[in-house]
Amino acid sequence: MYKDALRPSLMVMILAITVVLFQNCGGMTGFEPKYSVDQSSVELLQDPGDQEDPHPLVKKVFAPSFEPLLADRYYLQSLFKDVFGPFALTVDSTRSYLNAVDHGSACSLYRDHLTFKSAQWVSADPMETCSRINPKFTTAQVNPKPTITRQALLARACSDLTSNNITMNFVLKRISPSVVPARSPENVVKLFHLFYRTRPRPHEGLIDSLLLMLPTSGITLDHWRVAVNTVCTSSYWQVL
Amino acid sequence: MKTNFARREFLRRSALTIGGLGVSSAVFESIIAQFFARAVAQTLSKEINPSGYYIHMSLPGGPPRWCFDLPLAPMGVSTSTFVQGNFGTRIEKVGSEFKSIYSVDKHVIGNKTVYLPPVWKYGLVKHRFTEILPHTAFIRGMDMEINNHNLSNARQTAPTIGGISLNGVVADAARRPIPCVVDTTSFSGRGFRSVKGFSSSALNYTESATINPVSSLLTPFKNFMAGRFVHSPQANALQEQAFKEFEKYATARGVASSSLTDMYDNAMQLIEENIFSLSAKWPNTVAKYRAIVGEALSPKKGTLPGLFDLAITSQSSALFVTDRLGNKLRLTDARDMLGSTTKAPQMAENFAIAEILLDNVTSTMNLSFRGLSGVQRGGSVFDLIHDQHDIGSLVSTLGTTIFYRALLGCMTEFVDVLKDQKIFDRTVIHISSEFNRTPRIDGSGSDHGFMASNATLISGMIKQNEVIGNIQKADYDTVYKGTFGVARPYVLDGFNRPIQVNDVARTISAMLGVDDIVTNGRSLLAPKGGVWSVRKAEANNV
Repeated sequence: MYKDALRPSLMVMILAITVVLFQNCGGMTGFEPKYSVDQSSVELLQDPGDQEDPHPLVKKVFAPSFEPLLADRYYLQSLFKDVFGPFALTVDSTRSYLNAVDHGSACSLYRDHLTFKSAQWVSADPMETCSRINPKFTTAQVNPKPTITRQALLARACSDLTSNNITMNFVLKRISPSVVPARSPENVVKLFHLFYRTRPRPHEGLIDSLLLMLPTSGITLDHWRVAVNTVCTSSYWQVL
Repeated sequence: MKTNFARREFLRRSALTIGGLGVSSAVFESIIAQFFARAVAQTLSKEINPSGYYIHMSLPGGPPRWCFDLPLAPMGVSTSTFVQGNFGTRIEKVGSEFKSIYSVDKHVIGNKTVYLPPVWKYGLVKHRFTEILPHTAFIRGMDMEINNHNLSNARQTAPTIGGISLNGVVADAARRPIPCVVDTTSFSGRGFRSVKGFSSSALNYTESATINPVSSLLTPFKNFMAGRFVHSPQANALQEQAFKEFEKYATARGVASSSLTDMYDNAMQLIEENIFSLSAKWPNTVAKYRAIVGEALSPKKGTLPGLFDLAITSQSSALFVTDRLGNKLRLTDARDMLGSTTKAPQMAENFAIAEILLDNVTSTMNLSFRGLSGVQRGGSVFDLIHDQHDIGSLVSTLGTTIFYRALLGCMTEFVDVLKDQKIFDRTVIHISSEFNRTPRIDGSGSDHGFMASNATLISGMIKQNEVIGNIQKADYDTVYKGTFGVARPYVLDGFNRPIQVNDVARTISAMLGVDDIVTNGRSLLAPKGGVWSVRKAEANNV
């Protein structure tokens, strides 16, 4: 008996639920979008907010993104000179930073075309001064971007400088007076801060990962080469 | 090139060989896992390239336009509306004197008939220039708007001065190791601007056989790791592990940038894949194009009817002036101006660079071609630049035609290479200058033709020859009358004005599927059945 009464009740309930769930679907005859929007029309829209009833497809998402401000060619060359010593500037890959247009920093409009040197006026450095001699530097970006070429040159410069005994000895002197600094967290942190200037002390995991390169006994210049090269090529110190 | 697998396998083996530096087996597993994560994250992929390839070939100075511009006579030439001025396309003996006269040849290309200067029939032993005509669109009747060498030259690729350039948007859309390669001696090269802020790489080339510009460009990718302790397998393995900690550090301090690490990985991959080895292609490739240029610049006497078939004497005429100082040829036969010292600077080098670098290294470049150097005057040499205010019409006709012959010879070879590489259908070659020249006499030569200039597009997307744009008979100021006066309106998309650089820029960006860089341009070509053809067939001399 109850079974018979339950059946129509269930039907009514299902019908009622269906009506409630789909009450906003009236008038829908299909799932065609209101507008047909192709990519070119999306690009032409200057401001999606101007549209009274923009289709979801034409809305642009302005998501915040992190664009790192990177060190330019002058900064990079200066840092290498500071960390690895004056001899670093005689190493081709380091010297080439002044020619590396995609490392940013255009020639300077503020520099004179002549500079006073050795008691006379001579032509200013064409790498720094905007001139017809080196027009390519007029195209260097104010904010250089991470590029493959930039990173290739970084890897090369770090490798050259850490494979050179003169520049390696210079950097190790900045860590410790001894010829080969001892394996210690503090020495690794000193190395870290040669590149990551004014940055907070690294976490233990980072310190440990560098200590792994330095054996507990029999440490040599070669072991330090690996550690220095790792910090040098770790890239993030380029972010200003 | 090898795939990413090589690097992953290299890293895996490196990790397994660690042991000399006191690393535990637990660390091994961690390192290996990190290696794979990092290797898989590498994004360099030759397959992912949504856009096409774009090469701008600049002829700085504003060369006489006839060789590329004179399909200008799409319906043939009417002598009643043509004023030659100091122009000519052919050298003929008229009575006892030689003169530079204007004439064109009829070419039937598919179902179209166009009239072209004789140079198109001056092919080389292995290169028939007419083969590229079906893939060529001649845009004429262009109002360049600015009578300024530098700015107008830059506007060919960046119509808004200082704004985003065609090379820039193509570089933005592409994924190649070097965003763009340019000759920075050209203003269209210096005009490179990208939305993403890329910089272009400057070419360092010279005619010297000892300089390899591809090598110079790829030097950052030259393998420096062999035999160095810091790149031993053990060191590499430990370094990869440390990099992970550096990433954590950077993330915690808000300075992490995946693009930095991605670019580093890509750089290392390119080094390992030995992309630098492409520079080894330079000697043979440039030698091939130098041979073409050499053949083009040294025609045999008695050949090339209407140019080089007859001894050209009467050098005392003003038609033989070579510069603004009034110097003339002092040769018994004017054809001897093309001697062993005559070169087309950078021409062979440009095409060799394009052949080696396009697709492999970059998706876009800007190259410039500066006329002839070392042209014999008789006792001395001079450079036949494109800006020919003071060059007599015989010298101009002979020298410029031979220059175009060399350019077309290299172009025909280059197009064949692009076809072989299956990339011609996604490549646009854009040839233009800041302007061309008018028949208005200036000095002993001709003046800037910025009011009715031209551009040429060559692409596999174009399957039939196109001639676009209208030219008005008379100059607005009626100083002279002639077919080559000024650009006439070309009504399209609601714009009632002549074709401008904006229109050419929009046409190219449409063909390549990249962002438009102008707001008021009209695409002159449109795809129909996969082929880009003219939207409005109109090319009148009126």
